[in-house]
Parts: sequence; structure tokens; C-alpha cells
Amino acid sequence: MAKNKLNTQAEELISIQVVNSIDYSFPTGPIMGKWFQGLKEKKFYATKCPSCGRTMTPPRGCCALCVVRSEEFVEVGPKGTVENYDIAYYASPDPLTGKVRSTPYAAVFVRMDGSDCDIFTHGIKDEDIPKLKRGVRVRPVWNEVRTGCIEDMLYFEIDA
Amino acid sequence: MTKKKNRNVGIVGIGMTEISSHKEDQNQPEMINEAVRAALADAGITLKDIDCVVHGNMELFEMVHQPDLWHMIGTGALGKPEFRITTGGTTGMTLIAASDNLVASGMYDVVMAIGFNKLQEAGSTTGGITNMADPLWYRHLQTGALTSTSANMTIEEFGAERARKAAMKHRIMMDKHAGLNERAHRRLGLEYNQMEDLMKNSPPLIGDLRLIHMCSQSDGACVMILASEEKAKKISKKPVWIRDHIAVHREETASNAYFPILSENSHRAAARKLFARNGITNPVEYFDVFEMYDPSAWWGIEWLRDFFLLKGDEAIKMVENGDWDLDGKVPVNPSGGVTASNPISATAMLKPAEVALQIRGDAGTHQLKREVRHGLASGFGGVMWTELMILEKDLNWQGV
Amino acid sequence: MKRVAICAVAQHEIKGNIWYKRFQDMLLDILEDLQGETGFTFGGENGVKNVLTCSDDFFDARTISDNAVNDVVGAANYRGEQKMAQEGLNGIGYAMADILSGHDDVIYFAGHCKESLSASRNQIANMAYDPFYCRCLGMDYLNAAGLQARAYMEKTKITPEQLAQVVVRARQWASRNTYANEKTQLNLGDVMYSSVLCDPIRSLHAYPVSDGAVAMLLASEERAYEFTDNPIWITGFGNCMDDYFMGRRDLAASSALKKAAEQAYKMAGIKQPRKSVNLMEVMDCYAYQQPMWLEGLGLCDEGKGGDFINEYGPAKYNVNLSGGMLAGRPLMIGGLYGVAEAVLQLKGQANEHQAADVNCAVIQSTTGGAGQFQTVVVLER
Repeated sequence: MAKNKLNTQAEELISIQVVNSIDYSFPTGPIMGKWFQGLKEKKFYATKCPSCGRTMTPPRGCCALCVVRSEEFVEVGPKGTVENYDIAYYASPDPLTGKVRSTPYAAVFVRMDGSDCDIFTHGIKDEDIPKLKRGVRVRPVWNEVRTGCIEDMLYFEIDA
Repeated sequence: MTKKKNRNVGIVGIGMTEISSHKEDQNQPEMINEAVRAALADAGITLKDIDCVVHGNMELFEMVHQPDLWHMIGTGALGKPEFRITTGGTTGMTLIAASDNLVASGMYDVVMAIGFNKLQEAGSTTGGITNMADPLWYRHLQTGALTSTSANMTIEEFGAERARKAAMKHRIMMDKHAGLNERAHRRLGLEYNQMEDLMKNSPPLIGDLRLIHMCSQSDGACVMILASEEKAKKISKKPVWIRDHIAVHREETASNAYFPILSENSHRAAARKLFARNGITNPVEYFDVFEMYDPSAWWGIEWLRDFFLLKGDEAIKMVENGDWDLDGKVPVNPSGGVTASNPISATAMLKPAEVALQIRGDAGTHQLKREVRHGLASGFGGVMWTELMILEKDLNWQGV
Repeated sequence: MKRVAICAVAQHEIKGNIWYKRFQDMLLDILEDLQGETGFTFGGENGVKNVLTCSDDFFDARTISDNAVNDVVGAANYRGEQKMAQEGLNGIGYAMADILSGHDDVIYFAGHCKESLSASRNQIANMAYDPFYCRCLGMDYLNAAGLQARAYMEKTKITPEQLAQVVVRARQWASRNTYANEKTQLNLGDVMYSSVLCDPIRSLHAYPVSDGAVAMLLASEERAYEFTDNPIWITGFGNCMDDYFMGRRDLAASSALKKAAEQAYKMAGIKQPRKSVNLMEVMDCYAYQQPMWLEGLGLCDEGKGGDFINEYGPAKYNVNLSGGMLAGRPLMIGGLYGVAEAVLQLKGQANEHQAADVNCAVIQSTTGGAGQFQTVVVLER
């Protein structure tokens, strides 16, 4: 291997620690805007593809399978079925906030009622993690204060 | 069915750095330069012979915007045409596919492709990957590329014991291969009698995905030089020919990737289309080596079934029988694979690079015993994207 | 050599802050426009199988920024996609190679850039510099341009009036272009006495913050006529990298641009660009760059940028009839907007800013500090 030919002492090598921070603002656009408005009202809006008929939540303005504009809104859920799940024991930093979450926590991949060809992902209540398996039914738990953002829904819980 | 390629393209030079989690003795252009020099030396040519440079990585891992501008110090692009083409995890092989197109087009005779990542510089690779999620609704949930959804499905299909054993056997086999490859990053010296212990005691990351199953966080660069048939035959005694390649992408949301809403994943679709148009009906029989982008052992055993268009438990049986081992039916990852070495944007280039070295017979300590004529290499990226490439020792497939 | 065509183009109107749409929404709008014009589809035997995109991880604040757009560019349903991770004009060269190689015969190419997402595009440009030296000094594209502007002005003796003329003219043409961003009309004094941004660059010498998206359909000669009756041919392409360290470059001479132009003209068989070229789209992020790039492209004598302006050179060669970069275009796709404009001009579809008898157009773009990387495309009817 071509090692440093200057024969530099390891102590002379430095690493510069820098925090790079650039402020951004992300527009929702009309489609995601409608979705966040729905969360505020405890509703899951989905767009419906005029070609294949599948519903998508969060709504996309274009069906990726048919490549056609999909702007008709329907409601799906609020309950759904867990199709898959991830129980995280390794907490990575949230790149939006830099915060590291306490573990374990879990994400569930949910087929919302009325949505046959699309999966919605959110967290699950910590107490329900041991009971997670494919096929369990879940319902959303809402934040008391809702402002029209993803935190309006806290997580899913098992619908016993 | 074979596409009519405007002209043939051969790999004439391969260079790579040592892959490591500690490269504090080099900055980014210096690391790239090491691989550039190695590739030029391998080809026996100089920078003057290079018509065009192709550069790619994922910028947010090193936090350098348009990094080719600074990196020109090490790439040798000064005064030359240059392209920067990326596709996430598949970037390394996208660069080779793109370079193949650039040479085949007739616009450039000799093209040098550079793939690298210095993951150490970002601190957290998992955090960096999570940045790919939509900032409005998924970024707060995703945990990089860590998921046990594949493990869950495999366990459901084959039972926990069989599935877990197969994943661990694949992982130990990969480590044994890496042990033979002096450039591999992680060479842990695992033995098959450690299976039970690792299945119980390796720290869990996500569900059934344990630390031992997952790929590394590596620094490294890979450089390959491609040339037109005419030039390739002049430059190299044993050019390796790029027969065909295909890219297959899927939709944005990771939700739909981690629970497949459609019957076919991108790997199977890529393999089906690529083999069909090249008249390859029995890939297990046809290929002498397969370098697979297997970010985890769970994905590894799942995807072998897809890449070779196998059904039911055929692929897992082959894991159990050792058919993917170095002396098996199709040797998989003689390099040690991605669980051993993963400098992400170089990773998918290390796959065709390794196949080409095996075809040339220049893989050194990990050279396969059998003759290698037909090679397959895969890249994985995006949410669930595939880049798949066929490499050949001989120029004899035209008209298949 | 076989030929590659641009069949049609679609442009999103450029604005300073398109806060009411996500870039996905913008890309869907122009996809529909282009499909409406050409009737192309995805999939099937004759549909588009491979897509090219152009975007940037920093501007979008997303790793693998193309992942965010695969749905709205038609790539997501088992099709291929590659991202030009540099200024979009380079994608014209790559798409051309892809088609000439025989790998694809039709390519959908879509690029987007929303400069308004980040609080400061200069902060992003600062990240293009090495983290040890130039970044710490606060280098970005604006102050690199400031150094180059000073060097160029000293060499050519170009005057503040002449630079102001470039900006005033850009705004005049922009007012006729539906898609242009900044259409406020100016007089010379407005420009000459606008606040100093980075001496000698004044605020009205610099391109305004811009959001936009461009799409186009490219095809092999065999297939182009399926999508249009008047394809525009890519006859020349070239690009070139200059030195990263500005101290090692003659900042007032654009050596990389000359090399890029040389490649493009050679491929197009152009020996005397002043005789062959009828229309220019140059990426003038700052007013001094318009004459400087025209020198590099061989339309203007070396060091004579000021005289060129006095002698109505920009009018003679139909330079930036779109309004150009000075009227506002997003950085990563400045050159792609140039292609869109040139294609409309060559097809005779530029409406209120249509030039007469355009047969051969040259488009130039640049990335990096003080024109470090340069790209040139020749289009012909």
C-alpha cells in the first residue's frame, strides 16, 4: 500500500472537527399540505391513482407505477394491518434534530384499511413492541395538540 | 435479443486503495490519487492516455458540494473532459455502466471512472443515509439502511432456525473469503463452529439483524479504466469485456420497498430482463463468479434467490450445501463482499473490479481455482435499486 | 457518425421562491407538458426505459437527491435512472453518448433546482471548497467571481457602463420570455449604483435567487420523428476541468472554456464559429461573465469584451435572448435552461423573443468558482 511517503509522525496528522449547518425550509406543496391538514383533523388523506386505482398515503401527486397525476383525495384508515416491522436496538441520530432516541423503539409498516397497494410507516407505542408480529391490527394515537405536521400522530398502538 | 452495442468496451486498468475505517493519513484527493495511480500502473498507461474522467460519490457523507472540483488535484482531470454521475449505493457500478456508454458511443476512447467514499468524515453513516428520506414525514423514522424486514420475511417463510442458520452461514462464508483478500476491510477470522454463539450473542441492531450481519463503515476508492476494443487490445494483454448492464429503480418510499407490494423486487426484474436479452437461460450454470452487493447477510441470502431466478428454498438449500462457496456451483463474493468492505460509492465498483480480476486471473491470494470466463456483478442502492452487469473473458457472445 | 436529437423541451417558469410547490410537483407539471407535446410514454416495447435526471444533494438537502424524484420522472416502475451530479448541460453529452452507444434509443431527461430551499446558496458554494483551507477562508462562488471580475476588468478595461448595458439588455429580453424570473426593467444608473455585493460585483450584476425545472426528450435519429416533425440535432459537445487553485490559473482567460469549445466545435465541424453560429446561450451568473465567456467561445477577440459590447456583438450573435442567467436561472440547471431556449429558437417557437434564421446555436454552462468547469453544446436544426 502506498503509505504517506513523507514519513509523517502520526501525532502530526490532524482531523478538523467542523459542524456544517445550513438552514433549509421545505415547502409541503398542495398535496402534502392537504395531508398535514388531515392529520390535524385526525384523518388520513390518500391520493387515488386514476389509472390503477391504488391509494397512497402520505399522498403522492403522481402514481409511481402508472406515472399519471393522482390528485383525487380519499380517506383511508384510520386502522390498518402490520405487514412488517423494525425493532431498533441501535439508535441512530435523527438528522433533522441531532437527537438520539432511547431504545428499543419500533417502526411498523402498515397497510391502511382501504389502501391495498401501498404501505404507510410510523412508530408503535413502546409497550406494544413485545406483541408485534405480522398481521396484527393497529390504530393511530393522536397528539392532543395538533399543528399540521408528522408529530400530530404520536404512533400506532395495537387495536385489541 | 442482445442490444446492438456501437462498439465493444474492455476494462484495461483496475486500482483500489486499501479499505479501512482509518485513513487519517490521507485526505480525500490523496486517497483518490492512490487508486488513480494504481489503475494507471495496472494498465501501463499515463494520464496523457486518458480522454475523459468520470467521478462519483454521495456528497453528504463527506459534506463537500460538487467534490470533483476540489478532487481534481488527485483525479488528474485537469484540462480533460469530465462527468459526475451518481445513483446512491449503486453509484460505483453506475460509473462503470456510464463509462461503458461513453466509450461505446465513440465519443471517448479511454475513460477513467472513480468511485469513492470516506465515510469516516461524516461521523455517522446511518445518519447520512437517513438523510435520503423525505424531510416532511419519513426522516424522523428511518434508521439508515438498517432493517430486519428481510429477516422477518425469511423467517416467516423458512422458519426461524433454518433462516437464522442460513444467514449466519452466509456471513461466516463471507468472512472466510475476506480472510483470503488482503484488501478487505474486516477480516474477523470467524469459524463455522461459532454460528450458535453469534446467533445468540452478537449485539442486535434491528430485530433479527445483528451487528455481525451488517456491512462495515469504510473508507476507500476504486478506479477502473475502460477502453474501446481497438485501444483495449493495444493497452492490455487481457482486457475484460463489458457485455451488458441494466439499471432498475423503484419508487421513493422505503415503506413499499421494505414490504414488497409487488411480486418482483428490482434484483429479480433486473436479472430476468438482462438474462433474457442475452440469451442466458440457466444463470447458475452460466456464471463462474458472482460479486454481489450484499449490505447484510439477511439481504444476501434473500437476494441470491432473486439474482439467479430461483424459486422457493432453492437458494437457501444452496447456502446449506455450500454451493455459493469458492469451490461451489457459483462462487459468490470471493472478495469477501460488502459485509467485509463498504466504502459505499466505491463498493458497487469493487464488484465488477473483483470480477474482472478473477477473469484475468489476477486476484492473487483469493483467486478462484476454476477458470473464470463469465462473471456477474450487482450493485444495490436508492430505496431498492439494482444495477447488474455481465463481464466476459472472451469477445464471443455477439449474435447470441 | 449517427445523430442524436432533442425532440422537445418543457420549462417550468422560474421564480425567486416557488414556495407553493415541492420540486416533485414542478417536475410532474413539465413531464405532462412534454408528454402532451410528444406523446411519449414509459414502458412497453417503445416507451422510455431509461431516465436521466439532474439535481444536487446540497440544494435539496437530501442524500441521493434523485431518489426523491424517481416517481415523477417515470423511473420508479422498474426503469433505469442516472443522475447528472453536476450542471445539467453535461447531461446532454451523457445522454448523447448513451444513445450513440446503442444502450438506449429514447431518453427522458429532467432537472430541477430550488435555490430557495436553503437559507443561502453561498453557504452551499462554500461547501464546494476543501475543508482545510479555502472553506475556512470563506471562499464561495460569489467571491471567486469577485476576484475574476477584477482580473477581467483590469485586462480588458471594460467599463461599469458596459457591464450595466449587459444587465439592462438581459432584463429587456427577459420581459419577452414567459419563463424568465426577473423582468423588472432597469436603466444604466440602477445597475451602476446598485449596492456593492462583492467588489467589483454589484447586486444587479449578480443573478437573482431562482427556482426552476426543465425537461426534454432525446432520441436516436431512427426514432426522433416519432415524437416531433422538427428534431433539433446535438452536433457538438465538449467539457473541461480547470485547476481548483485559483492562484495557478490566469483568471482573466478561460482556458477550460477554450478547450471545451474546441471539442464541441470540432465534433460539429465548425471551423469559424463567428460565421456558423447564429445564437448563443451563455451562463452569465455575473455581468462580466457574458463578454468573458464569449471570448472563450471565440465569438469575441481576446481581451476585447468591452469593444464587443460597444459594437453590438450581443445583438449580432443573438446572445441570451431568453434573458439568460442574469434574469435568473437556478445554478444546477442554468445550462439546461439554455438548451431549452435554444431548442425553441431553432424550432421557431420562441414567440415574442424569436430571432430570425437560427440554424446553429451554442450553449455554454459553468460550475465551480470563477468558471472552473466549463461545458459547451452545439445544436443545429
